[in-house]
Amino acid sequence: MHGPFETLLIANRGEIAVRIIQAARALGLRTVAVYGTADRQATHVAMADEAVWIGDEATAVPYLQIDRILEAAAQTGAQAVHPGYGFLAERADFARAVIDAELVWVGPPPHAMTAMAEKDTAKARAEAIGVAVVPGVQARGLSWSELADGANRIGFPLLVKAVSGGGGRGMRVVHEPDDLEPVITLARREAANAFGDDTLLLERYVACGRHIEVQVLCDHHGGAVHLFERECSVQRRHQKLIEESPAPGLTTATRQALYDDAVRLVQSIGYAGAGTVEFLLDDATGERFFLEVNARIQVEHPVTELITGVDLVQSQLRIAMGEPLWLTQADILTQGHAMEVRLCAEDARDDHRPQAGEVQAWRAPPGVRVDTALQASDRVSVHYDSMVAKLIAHGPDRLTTLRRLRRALDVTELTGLSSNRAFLAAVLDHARFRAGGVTTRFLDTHDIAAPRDPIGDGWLVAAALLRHGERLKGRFRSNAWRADVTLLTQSSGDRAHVYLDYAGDNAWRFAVDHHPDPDLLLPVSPTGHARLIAAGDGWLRLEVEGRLATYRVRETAHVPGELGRTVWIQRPGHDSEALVEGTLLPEPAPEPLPAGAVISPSAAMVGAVHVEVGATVAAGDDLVTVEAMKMLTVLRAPEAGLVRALHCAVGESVSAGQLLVSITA
Amino acid sequence: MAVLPSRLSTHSVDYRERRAHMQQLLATLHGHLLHARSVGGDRALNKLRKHGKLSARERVERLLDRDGSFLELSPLAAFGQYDDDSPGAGCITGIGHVAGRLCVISANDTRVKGGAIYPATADKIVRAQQIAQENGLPSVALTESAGANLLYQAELFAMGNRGGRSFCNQARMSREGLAQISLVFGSSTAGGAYVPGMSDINVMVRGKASVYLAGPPLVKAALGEDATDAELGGAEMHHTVSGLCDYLAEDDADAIRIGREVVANLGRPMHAVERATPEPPRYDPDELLGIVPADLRVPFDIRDVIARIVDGSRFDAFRPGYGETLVCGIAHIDGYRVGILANNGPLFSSAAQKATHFIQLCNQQRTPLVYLQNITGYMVGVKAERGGIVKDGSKMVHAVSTATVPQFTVLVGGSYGAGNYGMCGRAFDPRMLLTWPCAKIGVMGGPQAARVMRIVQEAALQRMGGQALASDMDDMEAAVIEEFDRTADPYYATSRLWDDGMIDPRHTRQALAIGLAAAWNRDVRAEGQPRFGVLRM
Repeated sequence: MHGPFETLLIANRGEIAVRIIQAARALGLRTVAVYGTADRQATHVAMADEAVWIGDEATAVPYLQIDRILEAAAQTGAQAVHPGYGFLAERADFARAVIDAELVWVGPPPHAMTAMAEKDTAKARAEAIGVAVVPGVQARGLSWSELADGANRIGFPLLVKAVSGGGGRGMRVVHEPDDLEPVITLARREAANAFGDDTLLLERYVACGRHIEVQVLCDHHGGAVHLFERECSVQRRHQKLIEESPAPGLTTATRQALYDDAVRLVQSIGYAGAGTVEFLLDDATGERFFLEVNARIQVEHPVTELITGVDLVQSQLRIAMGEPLWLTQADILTQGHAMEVRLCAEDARDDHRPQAGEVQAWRAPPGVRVDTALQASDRVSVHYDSMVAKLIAHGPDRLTTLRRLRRALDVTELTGLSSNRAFLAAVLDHARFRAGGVTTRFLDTHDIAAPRDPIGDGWLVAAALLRHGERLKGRFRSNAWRADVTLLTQSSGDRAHVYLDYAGDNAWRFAVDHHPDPDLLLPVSPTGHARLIAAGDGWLRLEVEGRLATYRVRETAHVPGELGRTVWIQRPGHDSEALVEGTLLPEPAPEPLPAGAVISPSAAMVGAVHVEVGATVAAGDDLVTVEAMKMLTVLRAPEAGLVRALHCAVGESVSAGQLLVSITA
Repeated sequence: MAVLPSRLSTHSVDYRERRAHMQQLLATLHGHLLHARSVGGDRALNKLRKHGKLSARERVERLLDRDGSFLELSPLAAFGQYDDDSPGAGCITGIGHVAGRLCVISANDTRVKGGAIYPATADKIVRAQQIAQENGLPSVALTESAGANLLYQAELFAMGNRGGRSFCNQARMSREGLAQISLVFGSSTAGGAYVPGMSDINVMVRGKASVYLAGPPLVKAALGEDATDAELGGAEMHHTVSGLCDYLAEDDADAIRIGREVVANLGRPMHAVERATPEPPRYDPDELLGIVPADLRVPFDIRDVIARIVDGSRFDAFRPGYGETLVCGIAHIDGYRVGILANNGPLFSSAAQKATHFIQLCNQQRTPLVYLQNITGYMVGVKAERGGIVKDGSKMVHAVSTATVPQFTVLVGGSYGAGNYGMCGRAFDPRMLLTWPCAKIGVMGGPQAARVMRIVQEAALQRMGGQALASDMDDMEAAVIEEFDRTADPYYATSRLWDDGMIDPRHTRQALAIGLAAAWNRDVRAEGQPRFGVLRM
């Protein structure tokens, strides 16, 4: 199960697969990638020495196909398997299958995974060696009254979790005893669908907790060290967004206690490899509770790497090769502060809904570490996680690090998709976050609306110039005419009319009319002068009314039959904006939905169908659960009636606005 | 070719005053153009929006290539006529690039009385057709019209150059292979129905276009038949039943898209075009604003105008030492070779003879001609008459009349008397006649006319033994001057289509370039070999 190997198969995709391939290369290993149909053009596939197709996303998630992955290993002569994070990373059955196939498993031994995989057994073990845990009760095999008793013992609000879940999946807060039953029913269903195990865990909900985790490395010979802590308290829907190390404001005693607990715990279960021990620090009481052990490399591992200088993925591989730990605790020192943000393809203006689409342009910022598999012209699909890149800054102190990261966000170019870039920037700018020590409720209790930019005229002028400017030079309109472009912003539906006149010598006169309402023509016409200073592939440097700025601009390919193209434009420090060159006509009204139609709110996968054709439903009954990346949304009956038709099946990908269920009254 | 020296000092008081005056004239022009352009205001535009329609101007702009040029023709037609009810005569015409091809475009503006046809509308359309015919350009009509304004039917219906003339022109151009394309966006009743009817290719917008000889009320009245708009003349009906519609469009934008494809699929002229690499003038065309004095009696050097219009400001003067009040020479405009005749004073016999020679020369060399008019007329007086000014002036008028190369005229100042004729005025069919806002047109100046009238009147009264009262004579003189001033006003001229449009002087080069590009749609070298009648020697 551990020993030397020359060829490593990476059973994962995206940035972590890229990261693992890089680490393997540094150790001189050969790499084998596996991929699903949607990933044929993916970076990790291109980077690996060999790649094997393991299935189509339409039928099942390829990266969960254990048989296929093992077949790929056999075909390519891979001697070891790295699972990355997510997918099969914490599946002990997969680890066992790998070992049974006489391959090296880059991860903790299956028995250690089992010991920690289920939160209830993990907690029991922690309690046994004197590590404090959050009070709770396991729901397996309990009757409703027993469950209710347990819940009352714990007190409300409490947290319902899927035992096999992780990373926020299958977690719900229950505030009232009355809500307990429906939530548990739903959570069970979700857990069964998502993890094949509907065991739930009820535990005290620590409202004001900080999420602190300790990174550990253990070898197969009983050696264990910690690599200090990370704080991951900035979370939305239990998804981490910003991680940093060291955690601001902890006392030395607290830190040391956390490290000791972590090392004691992993040693007690014969852990090997890299792992993370998660704790909840109750801000109100100062108590620390052990939460769980993440038996894998984590998304936020670069934070630790930057402050310690230890390559965690290389360490995983060396440990798997059987190397005894080459570091003593005293060898591991920290330097400065590191902070990571997760850049995700989502629309902050639309409840952070994941965005699918084509990346028009991607330019990673300089000066920070960027872990990504993204490349321009990639399609971000609904099948996988919405995280497209991690930006990790390192600096001598927290504020400098934070500023470096903030600046990096400003110069990140991601065009073609909405992203949480501006939202992350707003969090980094927030005074409370800057002060340090926020709790996991930070995003719930602070309104961090990404500043909604009124579209600066400079944007419009840049887009208009890209589209028309160079051509305008050669053309002529006699004096009654104005050269005009109508631009609609895709996100907000605002429309603006830009008039451009070439004034010679790379200078234009412009006038902009904004029409928030297509039926209402506002007489607002800011006019001014723009000068094109320089231009290159995908960028324009303009002086608009005496202010110089570089605009990143991309134009989508022309769609036959359409008059206008989409121009994506981004000015420094702002999100990219899609401007559609439109007709002046009002857009055609969407087809009215037939009464009783239930549509998918976003591009998603159908997680569960709760009704059958012919069933009678009451208003508010659950019809379909759709999952968009890691968010489950239950679609309910808008009115009472008969289910006339089902237009979707479990596992199917559906697009935003697609009709899923028809109900007749 | 020598570069013209500039005689203009942009720091001089003269320059600044002249420029300020021209800018005032331009402000007036733009005011009038804006008025014509925004007729009906936002209300009319919003009404179009509610019906899912584009305005005429939007239709034209969308039909045009984004990087192609457009010269609007007669934008102030009907100005000050019909109680100002028909700004721009209710339609837009112009020459512009569609799918890389110069076309003559006309569009009914429904914001003006529902696109009703006024006498000036007919004149404007027929003039645009004449331009298409002379230059061999395809025509694209963007049609939506309520039909003739019946108040003016007497001036419209039967007149030789109005009414039916546009349909006659359509047929004759079609015969010549000049495509007649019609995009129908809305109601086209009666006369309007014949626009698509006479076209080679029609596009109609589903649910919006309706084409019939008589609408539902008239049909009900005449036959007692009940019929809906769609049954009588809807786009679908014409597409599937009557065969009047070749392409069915979903909306305005779609009709324009189809129209552009139709133009793209037309055959193209195959002859070679003589054109050098274009080069901007060496002097800034912006300085054209500071050349013409407010008082047209003050002379200015027309070569300063030429220097700001032609490629590289290069000009090969022909016989510069002879008949110096008429500047003749060869230059290029946007790469096209032209012969230029430009006034630098009254026309003397020598100048007229030189002009005749030069016009014949350019005809032989197949070089199109450009006339820059600032002319008070042919010289009068004993010496001139005895020198044969009538004979020499007639030779020049003869040469202008019988020239077979494309001719273009720009009124940059005065256009008086026979000078208007000799310098290729409207009656001599220049391919295009453009006016600067400072121009004045008349058989003679108002004060001169008043003086003449006074002398004649006083002589007549004297013959009858009477005595003219000085105050009466003063009143008469003032009235004559006023009437002359009114009709000499360039807006009076442009309203009546004496020109093809008033332009900003700085646009002269581009406007001429479009005219020349249009002219080269026919083979300038091959068409109409030079032939002249009897020149009186």
